[in-house]
Amino acid sequence: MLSSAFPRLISRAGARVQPFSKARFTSSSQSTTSTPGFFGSKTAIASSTLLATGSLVWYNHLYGINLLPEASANSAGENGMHPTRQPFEHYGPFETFNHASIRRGYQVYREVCSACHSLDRIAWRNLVGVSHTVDEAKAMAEEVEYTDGPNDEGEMFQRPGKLADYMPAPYPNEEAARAGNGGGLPPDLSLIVKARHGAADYIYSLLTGYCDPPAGVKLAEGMNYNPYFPGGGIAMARVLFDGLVEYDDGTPATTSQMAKDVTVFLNWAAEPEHDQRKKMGLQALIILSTLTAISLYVKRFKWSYLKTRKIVYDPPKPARHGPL
Amino acid sequence: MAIENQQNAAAPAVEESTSLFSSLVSFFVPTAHAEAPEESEEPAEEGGDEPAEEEEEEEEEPEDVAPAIREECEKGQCAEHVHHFAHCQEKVEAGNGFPGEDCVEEFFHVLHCVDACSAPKIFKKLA
Repeated sequence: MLSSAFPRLISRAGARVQPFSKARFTSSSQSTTSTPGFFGSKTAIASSTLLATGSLVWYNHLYGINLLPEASANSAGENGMHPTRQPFEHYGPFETFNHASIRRGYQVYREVCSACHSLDRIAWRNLVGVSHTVDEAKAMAEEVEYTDGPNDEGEMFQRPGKLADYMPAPYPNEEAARAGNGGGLPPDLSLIVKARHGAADYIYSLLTGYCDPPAGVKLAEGMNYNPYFPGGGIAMARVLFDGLVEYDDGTPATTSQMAKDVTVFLNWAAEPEHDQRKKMGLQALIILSTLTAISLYVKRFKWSYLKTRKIVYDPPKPARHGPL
Repeated sequence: MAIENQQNAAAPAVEESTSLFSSLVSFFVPTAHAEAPEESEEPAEEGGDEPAEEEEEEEEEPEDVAPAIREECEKGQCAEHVHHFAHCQEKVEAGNGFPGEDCVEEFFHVLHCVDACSAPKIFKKLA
């Protein structure tokens, strides 16, 4: 069958095989092995060995020695305690953020967290209509001095902040932040809820989870024990204590209340579109369910005359002089 | 919740709109306005007074509900985990554990149980 499909191939293959079969019969003679070609030579063996060793050495030089064991997290302590799902109000599929909580959480961020953590991606204008009125946001922005310029003389100048300005950072750069915190870098909090496993649950658990280390745990100097932090040793110390801030709305500022509020605030900072997204989800649900209902109705309507018709066979009346 | 918070600000705007259609629409689609109401000074003063009074009233720090609830969970449904953890602590602190032994896993089991038990109870008490 193959030969009929590729007649030319078969004939050529046969031509190639011929000298081989001849060689097999005369294998006792040395003439065929006397010219083994390049791949049979000692040079080939030596150079291929050199290539293999050289590439291995080069790889290890570039990327580190890959035969050494890598750092890995295998124990429960190294992975950190998995945070329990906290019943936040905004977790429901159609629930919005608790905006009173966002407002309190902003206060906690401003009075406590902002001493070390920046919030680069949130501008004053973002607070407007979410947690503060436009006047309140303007007033808060004006309390901060921003460098602007250059002016007509080409010099930078200081001016009070405006709504378009972003939240001021506590440190001018990463090095300053590390130097001020014993080598640990306080991460920017704009997207921290999205940037950590467990999201808001993790932030809440971390803030309320500081405790004494269990027996046998050795902490590096300057580290604090937190079971939710992978490895257990965290450079940040516990910061939230009962009565640390005083809420405008009179809510008692307990540790768990502040942790909840600041977590909701940070969740809003990471997902400012959250409320709108869920609203659009409901809108999409309305449109799709309506269209589904309409299409089902239209289908029934269009098919109604087909479904309700009746095919009747009316046999011809027997002829008067038929067989019966 | 946003709507609830801002409704005080939105209420005058709703009353002002004379058109039947717009008031009908705003009934079904309440709109929150970012701008502070015109008479914002009065509420600000009121707001300023209230915390001041509360300051005088509650001089002592507010007490967190969480530790009591967690302790209750430790004594209740998580007692078994706490028992194992205490046993491990005793053993390791006395130096009877194998080299490098710690009680992290036992502690995590306690935490896992206590967190699940206490989270809904704590959040019920939070604003």
